[in-house]
Amino acid sequence: MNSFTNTAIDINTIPSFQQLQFLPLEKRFFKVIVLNTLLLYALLAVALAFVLYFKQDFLPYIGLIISVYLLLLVSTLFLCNISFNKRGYIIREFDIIYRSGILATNTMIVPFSRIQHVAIHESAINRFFGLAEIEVFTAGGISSDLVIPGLNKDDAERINQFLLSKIAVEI
Amino acid sequence: MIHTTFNEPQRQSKLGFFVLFFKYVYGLIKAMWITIFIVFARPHVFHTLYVIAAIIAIIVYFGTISALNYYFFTFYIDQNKNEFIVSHGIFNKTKTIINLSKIQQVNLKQNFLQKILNLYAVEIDSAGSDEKEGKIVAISAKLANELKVSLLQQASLVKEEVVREILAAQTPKLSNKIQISFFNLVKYGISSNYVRNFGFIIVGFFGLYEKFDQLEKAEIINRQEIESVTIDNDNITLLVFFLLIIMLLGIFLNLIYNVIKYFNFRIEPQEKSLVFMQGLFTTNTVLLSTQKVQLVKISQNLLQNKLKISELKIKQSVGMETNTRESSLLVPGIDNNDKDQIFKLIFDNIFQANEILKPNFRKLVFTIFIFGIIPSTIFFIISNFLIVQLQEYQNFAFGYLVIVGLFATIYFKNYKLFLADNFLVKQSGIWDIEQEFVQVNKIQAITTSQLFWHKTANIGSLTIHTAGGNIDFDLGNFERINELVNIWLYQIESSEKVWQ
Repeated sequence: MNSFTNTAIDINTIPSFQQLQFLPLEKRFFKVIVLNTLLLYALLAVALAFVLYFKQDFLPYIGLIISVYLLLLVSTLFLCNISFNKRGYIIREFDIIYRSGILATNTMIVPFSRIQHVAIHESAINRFFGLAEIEVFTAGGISSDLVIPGLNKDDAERINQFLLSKIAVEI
Repeated sequence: MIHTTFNEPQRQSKLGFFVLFFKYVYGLIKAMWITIFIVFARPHVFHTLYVIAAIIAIIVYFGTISALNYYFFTFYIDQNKNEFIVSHGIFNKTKTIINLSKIQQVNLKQNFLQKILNLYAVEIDSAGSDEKEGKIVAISAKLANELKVSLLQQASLVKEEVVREILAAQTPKLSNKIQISFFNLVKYGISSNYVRNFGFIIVGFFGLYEKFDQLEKAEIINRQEIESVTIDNDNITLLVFFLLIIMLLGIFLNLIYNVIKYFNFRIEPQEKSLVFMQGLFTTNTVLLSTQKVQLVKISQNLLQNKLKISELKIKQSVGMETNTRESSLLVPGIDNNDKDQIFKLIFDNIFQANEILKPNFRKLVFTIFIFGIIPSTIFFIISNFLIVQLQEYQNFAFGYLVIVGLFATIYFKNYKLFLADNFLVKQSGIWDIEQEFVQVNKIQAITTSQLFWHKTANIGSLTIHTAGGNIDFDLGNFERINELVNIWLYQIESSEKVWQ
């Protein structure tokens, strides 16, 4: 009990995460996002083609349908670009931070002492580009698991090893 | 003696292929049993050749993915780093790394197919989250046991604590035990679950309306006759009386249910835990370790305030218990002194607020917009342009708007975030006002969020993730929220205190 102190905390001396410089995701990852979007829209186009084939009465509207489709495609790609540029992460001494979002900026922070375990995911497309995503699990359920996509495969492995070393230390 | 080391990545038992295969087949049958039934019951609907072709295709497909899943599922233990590593996935590969010290429990299970094949499924349980990643579907009994021993080398620390807890539970009680009197239970029974009862009334009302409809269709009663009955005072009082009866019935049933379930509710404090007992016919006993408490919710409505009782809900982390019901404990009808006492037992001190955070006015606007203006606008559009018969109900739509406005204002006034040195409390609600208490060191992760058009207004949202659920606070002063997040992170990260 002798070494216990409880002095007031001066806010100015506490590290603040807002002004930090976030590390961006790998540029190749944007291609993955674009590819996924194009894939989705290709499926949509196929579905639309089926509908038009079976319900011929929509045919005169085909000009309108195509323009709406293209408009949606372009705006989706535009939003993907905004989303990609806003994403970033920082690894500090005691926690890991990830920022993302389009309309809203969502910043999620997980202290190392709360990490339960980690995982690396490589989807087929990501593997083709040499990318991977890490997932950091906490005890707070699925909504508080942190996912950082668009990392180099080696970087992802190294970050994981670093995080794991931080878990082991405190025990 | 451990004969097998798991140092090299290895696959499951080859027979695991069948376990996987039948898992897929079972899933298919569960999803499409109606179709399958039709196919076999009415053979002329589908040409037999097509059916056979479909079955072969399914077998080939499931067989292939089972084989591939089996091939790509490997696991091993890295002794140097004390890690258990599982890799799986055909196209989308995943590698999960779990530090052995985080493993709390290893369960060996067998479903009936695994029993026939003499295989075991190994389930690895760590704190909190649902651990599907570390699930091995099929290995032999010998390997399963050895794996369990290897994995649990590090877990001995945790086991010791459990033993200590059980021993502590048997030592004589310290302070007074808390008892919920029968009178309090009655008070709770008549003052709780109003929203649920109200819901039942609405459902009951619609049920009755449907019955009338059916009776009319069966021509037992005549709609014209009923509609020609003028709506005068007598009929309205009859209707109101009828609704009152239903509500009283709901309250009465709630009372009976609660009195039986929580009969003789008492709490006996032990050294590091609390023992909860309740029940009329059988006594239900739950041991709660105070250290495992993640979140405490105190709920009280206006009536309960006058009756001087409240409801307490305690959420703990689910780690060891397999029964998910025990993750949330409910204390009904507790009076204020006992409530403070329990609080002290769990949290070591009573809560004193240093600071109160209130939401921005925009939250009120937003709530009214979402729950009032949007539905009303949709209704007006539909009733004016599409279904004209609804126009006579437009007055009700105005009434609805007024009610939403009133409720939203009450909700906004009650919505607050209280802060103390080691605590935060989120208060919310309209009729049942709920306060959620979280200790800072129980925080697992924090998320802040700000819509880009709120940047100049300096407002944003906060989500606190705990092992007992999330706590959200929307549209508060974002600068202050960020400062608080920095303080909390500092407290969590500079503390040696274990959170669980």
